[in-house]
Amino acid sequence: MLFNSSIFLFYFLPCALIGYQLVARFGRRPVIGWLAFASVVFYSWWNWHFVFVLMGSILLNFVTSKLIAASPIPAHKKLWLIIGITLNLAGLFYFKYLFHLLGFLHSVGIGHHKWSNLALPLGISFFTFTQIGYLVDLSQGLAEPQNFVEFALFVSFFPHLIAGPILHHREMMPQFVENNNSRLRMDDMLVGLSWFVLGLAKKCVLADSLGPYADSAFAASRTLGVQAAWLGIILYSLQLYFDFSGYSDMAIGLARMFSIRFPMNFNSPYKAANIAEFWQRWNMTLTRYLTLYLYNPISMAVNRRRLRAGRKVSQKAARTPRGFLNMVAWPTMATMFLVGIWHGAGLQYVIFGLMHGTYLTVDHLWRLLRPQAKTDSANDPGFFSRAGSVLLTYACVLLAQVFFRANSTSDALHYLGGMVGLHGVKWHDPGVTPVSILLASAGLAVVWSLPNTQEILGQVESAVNEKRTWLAWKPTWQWSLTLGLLFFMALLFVSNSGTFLYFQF
Amino acid sequence: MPEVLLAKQSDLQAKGRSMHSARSLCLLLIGVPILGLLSSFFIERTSFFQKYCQTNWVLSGESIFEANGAHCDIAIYGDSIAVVGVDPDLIEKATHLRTCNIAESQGAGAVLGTDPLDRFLANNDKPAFLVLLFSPPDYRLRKWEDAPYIEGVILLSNFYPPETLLRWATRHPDSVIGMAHYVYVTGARNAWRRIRHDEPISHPNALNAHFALPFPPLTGCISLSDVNLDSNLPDPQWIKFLRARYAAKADHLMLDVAPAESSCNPSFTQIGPMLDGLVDNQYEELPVSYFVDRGGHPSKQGTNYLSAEIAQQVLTTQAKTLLASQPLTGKTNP
Repeated sequence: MLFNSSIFLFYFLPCALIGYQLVARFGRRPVIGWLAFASVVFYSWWNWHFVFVLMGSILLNFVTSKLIAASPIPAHKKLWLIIGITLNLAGLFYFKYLFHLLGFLHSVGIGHHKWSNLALPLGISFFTFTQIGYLVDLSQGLAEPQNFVEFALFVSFFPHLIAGPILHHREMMPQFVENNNSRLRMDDMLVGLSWFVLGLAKKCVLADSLGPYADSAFAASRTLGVQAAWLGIILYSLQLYFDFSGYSDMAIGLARMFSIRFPMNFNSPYKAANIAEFWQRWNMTLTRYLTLYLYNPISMAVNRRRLRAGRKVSQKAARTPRGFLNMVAWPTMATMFLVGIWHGAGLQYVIFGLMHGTYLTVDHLWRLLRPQAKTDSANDPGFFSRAGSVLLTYACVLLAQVFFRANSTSDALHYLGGMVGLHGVKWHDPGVTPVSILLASAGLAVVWSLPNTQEILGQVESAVNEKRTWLAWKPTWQWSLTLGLLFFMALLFVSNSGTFLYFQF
Repeated sequence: MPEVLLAKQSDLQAKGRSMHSARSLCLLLIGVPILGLLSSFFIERTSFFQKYCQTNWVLSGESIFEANGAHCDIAIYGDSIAVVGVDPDLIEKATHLRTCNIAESQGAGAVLGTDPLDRFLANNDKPAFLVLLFSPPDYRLRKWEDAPYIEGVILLSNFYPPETLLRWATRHPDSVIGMAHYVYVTGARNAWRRIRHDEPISHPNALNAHFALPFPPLTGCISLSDVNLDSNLPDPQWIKFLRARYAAKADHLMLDVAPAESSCNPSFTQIGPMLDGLVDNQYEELPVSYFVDRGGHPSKQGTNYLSAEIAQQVLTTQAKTLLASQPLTGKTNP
């Protein structure tokens, strides 16, 4: 079921909310059961067979968590953890990668049988990662064992089930379990609804309007002139941003309707002035997850090895070529390689990950080698310097997104060829129309000049937010009327709206 | 009363007011879109909308409902190919028989099924010839999910009791959104075009749903690879059902399949043998210039051809009937 489908908007969501309110009379436990049940119904709508995959995964991880919690000896805990992680990754590998790999081997002449790809259970990467994180924390004593229904709800809660945000048990479990006032809170409902409407409008009005232009650019990747190629990738970058951040807004808004606060997932990533900042603003919960469970363990393992070998692990050591390669480049590249694979099985995703790994490595190198400013004011870049950094970062992101969007590495290389002028400069390219230029300009104006959803709704405590009072949401009838009209406008385009781009992951 | 208690009471009152206000604001936020969706059903019925905003598909779909006590010697019913591709005037000229085109688009069929035809046959004189003309994919029971075009919902809204519309909208909430999109987006676009260019609305008459699509003939056709071939095929059981259901409703029932161009239709070679013995004409391939789109809607040339074919079919059947009804004299002409 999609958040932007009529069945969700007219039936599922009202039923889930009414049921919640009714069940809440009987206490928190029935509420948790109701939400878990609603989430399974939500998941089964797409393809009910996959409910068995989801429930199997939850059951497997629940049993593993019990075994980890019950093991008194650390070595046993570690053993159960390894078994749990292996089984999770095996499931993910089976559904997401195995048949792609067999297909690839067949295409290079290895193996006689031609395998076709399996249908991917929705959100498998997201719920697998969520559960692995829980098992890791449980084995380290950072998480508490839960009962089955609570655990099932943590994993399957419908607002985040399909495409995140990737939740951390520490921020979710207390909200699920310890909320004494289970009834729907109207103030949360209003904020949640407003959040949801802004996300729906981003998806249905903005992202879906941009999609066809980006699609036609990539369909003609082998013949595009310079202008059309750049315009096409800019339009795609905007589509991807509005699509995924729209989805995240809807997820956060939906959770908020039930008084559950999700972590932020987007914070105007195209305003980032460097690539590290970009990853702190784009798909933030994935970045947090990867930092916690991938980058940090790799980095710590490297440091331990260096210490055992009698080498230093200081900042100064990181400035030496060998130290930099060991302590910075290797963990970064390994993490981003896995980020690439996480997004898909094709070689283009690996390249996408490695490109971002390279960007991050260069960024780290720049930070290590650039002369340190003596005062804070010298550290503060001027407007033009900041704008230049933002543009450079955005350009780097665009280049990597060519691989992210293209159907194959070969298509991506052709597309890049178009961007650097290998297909010529075509002034009358059918891809460059006044409408597409207007859409790209308007989209960039929105992402660079307007505050983001959480800033508008006043849900971040930052200095930036305090400044932006001109577009600050207030619980007034004017705002509700405006958002109601926006809701209506988004609904008009719901019937033409497609699935979310990140559902394929 | 102690000050602490007074403060608490005032806090609770403020909280109550705030909750009350949040509830009202939520209702406003949800109420606006609901009002917008529902109002589209009323706006669609206004004379301004009828005059400036309707699409030709909707207007042509209304023609079958507007007939009452009419007499048609030849009644043509079918899908959008029949709407665009059969000009009743041409058939009338060729056969000298009163001809009515009461066909409807696929979207109407997906919502209303064969009910409009049943109503027509119940409320009008029995036709001498009832011609059912469909493209192969429409020779099957269509569902809303297969063809979510809004024409059927508008006809449901305009010609059926409100409870029927309510039942439909409850089962298919996306059609309510579709209706709103039609009224506020398509309707506004049509009105803008018509008012700006002073373009008259082509209002098909009762008993004549035919109108021509304003597109040039095709010069080539690239078959799409993502077409669902299964849903492109006719359903033989449905054809048999139609023949059984309507055989007695006219003196002559003719089930015809609309022609196509093979490169536009990926299932062309598969469809012909499937229809052998089931329909009353051949599944023909015509040059690409006889069509204006991949969907097989005929161009002017295609319409002339198709209308002439049906006229010929009627004349042949008439001649056969005449021969069969004449008593044998024992002599035969050389």
